[in-house]
Amino acid sequence: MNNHTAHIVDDILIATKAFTVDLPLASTQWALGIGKEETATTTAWQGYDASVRVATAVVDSLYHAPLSGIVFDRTLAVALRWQQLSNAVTGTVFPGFRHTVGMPTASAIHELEATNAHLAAEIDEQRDLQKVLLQQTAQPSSTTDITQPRHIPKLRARRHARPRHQLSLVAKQLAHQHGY
Amino acid sequence: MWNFIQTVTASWIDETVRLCNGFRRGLSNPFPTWEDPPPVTPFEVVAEYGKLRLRYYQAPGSAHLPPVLLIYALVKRPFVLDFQPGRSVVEALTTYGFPVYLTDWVPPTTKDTWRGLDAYVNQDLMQAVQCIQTREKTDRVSILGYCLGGLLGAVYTALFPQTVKHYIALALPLDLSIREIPVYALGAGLSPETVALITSTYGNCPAWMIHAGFTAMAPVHHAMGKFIDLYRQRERAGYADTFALFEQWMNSDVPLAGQLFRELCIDLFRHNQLLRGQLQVGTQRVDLRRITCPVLNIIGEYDDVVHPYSSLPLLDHVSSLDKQDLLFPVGHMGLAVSSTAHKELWPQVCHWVAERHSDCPPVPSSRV
Repeated sequence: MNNHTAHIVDDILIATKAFTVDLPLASTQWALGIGKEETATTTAWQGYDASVRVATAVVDSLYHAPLSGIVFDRTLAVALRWQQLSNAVTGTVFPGFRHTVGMPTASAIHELEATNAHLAAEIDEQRDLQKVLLQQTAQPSSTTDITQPRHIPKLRARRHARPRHQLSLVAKQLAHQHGY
Repeated sequence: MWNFIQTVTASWIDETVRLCNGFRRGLSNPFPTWEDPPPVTPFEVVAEYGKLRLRYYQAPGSAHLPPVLLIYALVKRPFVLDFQPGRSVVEALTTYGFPVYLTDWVPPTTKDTWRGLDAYVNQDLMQAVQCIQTREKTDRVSILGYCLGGLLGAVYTALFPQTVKHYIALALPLDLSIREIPVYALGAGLSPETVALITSTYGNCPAWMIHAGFTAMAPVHHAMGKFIDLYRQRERAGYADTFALFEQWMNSDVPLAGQLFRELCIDLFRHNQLLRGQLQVGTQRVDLRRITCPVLNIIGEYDDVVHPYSSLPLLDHVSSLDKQDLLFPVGHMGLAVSSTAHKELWPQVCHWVAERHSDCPPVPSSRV
């Protein structure tokens, strides 16, 4: 232990001397052109190395102190209890808060995304169908074989489209708004 | 001066980003294991049991040596054992002619809090050894465990001695009553109630907490020293690349399953049950005296993660006739990645295993 303390004292002295005497001296000499940059750099690194050793020794001594262990344990225990409280409050408050503000849940957003994707696919399908119909309309009637049925792609079931009665309701509302 | 500020600032920003990612990972599932760097030695995953993905590294040419199972620790990603060309344990073993199997532990999720030594040893490791036995058509497998993996290896070898040909411990934390490493002294203050609070709050021990533990081992170095060293070593060829890769590994912490965390903290760290012969895994008590195969105990002389005194008692507690300590003058990581270790240590280790494969009579125990 005495040897360890002696090392720390040595390092403190080295660091203090390097930063207060040697480094300013070496830097001044270098600035005046009578010293080398290398000397100043070496002195700075010596001071730095000694400081790191001192800092490390201080931390190690702190860790070895029995009081540090007790403080660490109690602080961690308190922090964990607060974390548990925070988790519990968050878990309780947020579902209710979401409901009150009308914020959608993650699953509702996912469902909406799926509906969106389905509608986009349906629009693409309609566009393709339109193209086919336009092409067939543009063909001269003499070349059309009327005995064969026209190739029209099948439409998928429109699961997400509004039912007919809802559409008529919307149409009525619009008509009312526009004064028809 | 400007370069210095730039280098240090850039490294510090990278480190902060990694730290934040580590924190985020601690709160989310599953852990992104695909962020590992590309492997130095090609491998194939040959089996998956529970939380263990078994990797196979083929030896070049026809394999004539016994298979080696590398058991890696459960706290970080295993790419440190296949780090860089010329600094890879896997490469060293395969080049020598050993078919190598490596345990790539799948990070536990919130559903795996029940997993303890019983699940990891009696299920995952046992099945991995059975898989190797079938694939290699052999009865016994050589086991090489690193750090916490060494501890799992010791427990496995003591429970299933008939399936192990050689046991090699690399930086084995065996005597956990040793408090020479300052952070261990600090950790000794952790009460069983606080350990239970950690697992009741998070389920598992989160990755960020493990990262904090490693950082606390050398706070001055991790906060500042390593970045300053990076600047000072800027002229050294390849230093910056190795530094970046090493940082990636340092920040690759994974959560530790809740039950295992409790066993490590209370049964092993607090009560030192493995060394005292009191550790219970499943229905069996772990008795190190049941280890009779040749044992090689590799210790880093300057190890600041597992103190050499913690590894040294191994030979006194096993019944093997052929047993040896190998003290090598490097630190904890140096055993796996230093160029000195790959020039001097690993050829010796390979030779030690190969020598014993030819069924020569056991040599008396020694300490090197």
